[in-house]
Amino acid sequence: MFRPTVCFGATGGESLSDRFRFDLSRALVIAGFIFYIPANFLPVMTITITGEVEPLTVMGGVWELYETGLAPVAAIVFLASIVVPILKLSIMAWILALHGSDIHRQRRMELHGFLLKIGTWAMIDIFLLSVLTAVGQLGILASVTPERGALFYAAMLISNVLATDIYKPWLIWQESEPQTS
Amino acid sequence: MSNLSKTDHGQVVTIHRRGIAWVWIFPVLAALATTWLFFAQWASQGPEIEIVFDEAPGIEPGKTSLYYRGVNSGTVQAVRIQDDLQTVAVKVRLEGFASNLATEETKYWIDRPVISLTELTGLESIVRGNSLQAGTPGGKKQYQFIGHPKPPIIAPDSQTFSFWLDGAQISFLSRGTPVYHRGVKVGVVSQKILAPDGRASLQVSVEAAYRDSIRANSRFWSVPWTSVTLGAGGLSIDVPGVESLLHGGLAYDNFGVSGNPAEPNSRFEFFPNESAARASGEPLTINFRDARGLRAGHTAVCYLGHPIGILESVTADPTNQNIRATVRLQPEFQNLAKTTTVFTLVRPQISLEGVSGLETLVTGEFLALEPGIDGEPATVFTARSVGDLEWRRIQAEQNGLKIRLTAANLPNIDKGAPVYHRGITVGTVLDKTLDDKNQPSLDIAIRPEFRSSLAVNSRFWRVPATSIKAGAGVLQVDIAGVESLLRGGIAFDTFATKGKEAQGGESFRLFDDEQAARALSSPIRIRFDSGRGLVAGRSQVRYLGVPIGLVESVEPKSGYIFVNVRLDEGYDFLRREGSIFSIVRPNISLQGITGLETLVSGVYIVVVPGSSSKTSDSFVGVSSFEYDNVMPTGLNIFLTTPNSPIGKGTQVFYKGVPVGQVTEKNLSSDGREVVFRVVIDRKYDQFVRANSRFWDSSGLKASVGILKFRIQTESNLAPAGQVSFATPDGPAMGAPAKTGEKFILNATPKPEWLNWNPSIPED
Repeated sequence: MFRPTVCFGATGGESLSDRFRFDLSRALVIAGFIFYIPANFLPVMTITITGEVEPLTVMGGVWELYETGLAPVAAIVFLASIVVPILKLSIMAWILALHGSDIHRQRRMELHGFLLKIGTWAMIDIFLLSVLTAVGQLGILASVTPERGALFYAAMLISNVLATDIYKPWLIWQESEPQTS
Repeated sequence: MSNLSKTDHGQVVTIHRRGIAWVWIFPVLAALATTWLFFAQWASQGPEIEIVFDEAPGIEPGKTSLYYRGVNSGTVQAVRIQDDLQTVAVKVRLEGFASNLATEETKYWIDRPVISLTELTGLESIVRGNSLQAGTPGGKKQYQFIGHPKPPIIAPDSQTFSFWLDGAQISFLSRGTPVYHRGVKVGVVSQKILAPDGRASLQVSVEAAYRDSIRANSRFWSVPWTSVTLGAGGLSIDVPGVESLLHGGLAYDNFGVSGNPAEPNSRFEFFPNESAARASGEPLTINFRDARGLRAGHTAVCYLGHPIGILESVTADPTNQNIRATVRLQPEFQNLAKTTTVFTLVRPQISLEGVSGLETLVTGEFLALEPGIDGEPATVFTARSVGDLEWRRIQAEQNGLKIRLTAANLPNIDKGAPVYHRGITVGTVLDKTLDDKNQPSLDIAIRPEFRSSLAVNSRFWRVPATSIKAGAGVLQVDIAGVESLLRGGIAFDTFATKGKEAQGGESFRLFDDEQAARALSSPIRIRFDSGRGLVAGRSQVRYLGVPIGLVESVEPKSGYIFVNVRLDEGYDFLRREGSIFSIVRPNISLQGITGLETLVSGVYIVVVPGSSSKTSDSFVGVSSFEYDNVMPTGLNIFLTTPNSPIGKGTQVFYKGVPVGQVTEKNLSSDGREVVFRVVIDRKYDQFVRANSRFWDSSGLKASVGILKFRIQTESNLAPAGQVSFATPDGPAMGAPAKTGEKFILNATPKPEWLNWNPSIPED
């Protein structure tokens, strides 16, 4: 069996033990789940258009889009901003839950690789919000300000990404260890 | 491999124990943050309140905010229509810090833009949409409210003092109308309601700081949005303020009368205007025969032209066919109402008698108050209903100085004609009658304030409706006044030193015109050969071109015309013996044109004063004394000659310088000689001496040989010839020539005459 110890580099490979990676990943996933709640219940931003103040939660934004007749866009945003994060968290949780077991190892590998790949795009919402905040300052006509929900949303996404990144693919293949040791 | 793996594993265990404790910080932190967040969210929420509105336009759940003092203090959670479909309930979640808004005194209203002529509010709601507003909280906790349809007019937190005004005329006053006290805005009308008793009432809220200015006896009136004053000073438009331009306004004052501070919610009466508000005195009743022009609330009571009261109401009194007017005076003038006080309704009057009360066309009719000098205070009066002119007449009749004027005839003057003194109307003609001697006479009255201007030696004359004076180059049209334009008048003045003041009852002579009145002295009688052109009472006597007297009468007697002339005062020196009176008529001849002005002014008599010291009242006039304006006076001498072609206007030369003129050519009484009257300019009269020699020098020129010319000069039509004279040297010259001295006009000079060259000092 190949040991890509060298491959994983002097930093990651040797500074963090596999067990620590597993634990940290688990902790982050749990934190992610916790963050997910306020991230979706609190408004992520306030849009003020011609004096009309509108605090928007993520779901509120989707609903807004749907109400204005942009159902496809609403669907995309709903998927990208609400379904995908929770799906990612769930997948990660599933991978971690099966840690040490030998079932679906191949599938777990694939899913983990997929998570890593799309992890690059995880912060797209936050990025968009920051761009919107920067651009959407039109004085009295319109303004966009981020709300506390955005902080939790970002924290949720970061937890998710870090959890995915810290949990390494080889750990999937690790045999479960006797709990006594 | 497994060895290595085991070694690794051993290391991990140690980290594993510590690691577990460390990594679980993340979920714990996440949980804490979330919990804190939700707790904070919950803690920041205040109670939920419900506000019931009649309608709730623009109120949206989740979006519309509740503002208190401009701060977002809550959010609308739900809007629903009540079961009865009559009202709308709005549920509002207050912010935690605004929990105290849920009290019973808090007023809630919907802030929406109001853009009208009188109001411009809620502009921010155009941008942000309608919002809920909360007023000042206070009182017990409460969670159910009835919303107000309009924002309160008073700033939510200001301490105000409110009271009520009752009045009939509050139509243009409305909610928001400003209230002024001496020009300072102190409050607003906060409510306008119809009281159960049917009277309209205004609730006025005044800032607490101004509370002391409202007294129990304060009087309120409405300020018109603008006042236009039209008067002698021009047209002025007053606008108290831009705000009142839209709203009108209310003002109050207690006009210097002190009073107790007003109680809150007390009721005041409201007056339509300031004069009504000012007139707070006891009501006076005035009975009118004719109430045309009386307007309750508008007709002012004026004392010496100053408004001091107002007509409050007008009622008909059927029992004695009167109109009963109730008048209130300003309290400080209340003492003018005495039993002898007279009220007169002044209204414009345009009649042949005159124009009076014209100002009332602009100001409206007013009641003139003529205070009685004594008498008890009274409250019931009977008004006079006469015009101002009539009133003035009555006044003059009652108090004025009454005198009588007599004249030969009295055209154009009637009762009521004005009497002028130096252009001022000082009296009026009371009556026109025939006196005992069947002579027309006028009774006139001089107003008391002018009685001092009438002296016993004052002279009266008629002022014609219009007089046109034409003089040399001047045409003057005199109109004494509008009144006299219609019917003429009488004027008087004292030309001489003023005598005693007239006491009344005297009789004066009325002269036909000012000229006649001015001519004071005893008449001078002048005999003329012909009185052609002289008009009694019209022809003037002039001295140096200035009119100084008047021909009083012209009467033919035994072949002559005797003219009586009166000279103005101060011209007695013209009465000397030797003064020459002559009639000036227009004369056009080749010698010149003279007296042209008489074409316009009429023939006049010119006088040249004589040098004698004796006075005389009887003169023989010279009928055609052509008078040169250039040499108005001078030494008059006569030249005699058996025959001469020289005519009138011939110049008289001394050393070639013209010094005089032949002014008259006559036959001597025996018919043997021609007599020339020569006037030597006064400047040169010392050159004419007893021994001066005169000759006809026109012949010298004619000797050039034009015989025909000389023959033709025998007519007056020919150009003038020349007369020259010379005076001997030294003592031989003799005494200076006297007026009227006679000289011989020689046909030719002796040669030695031409060499005389005396040195004659000026007198």
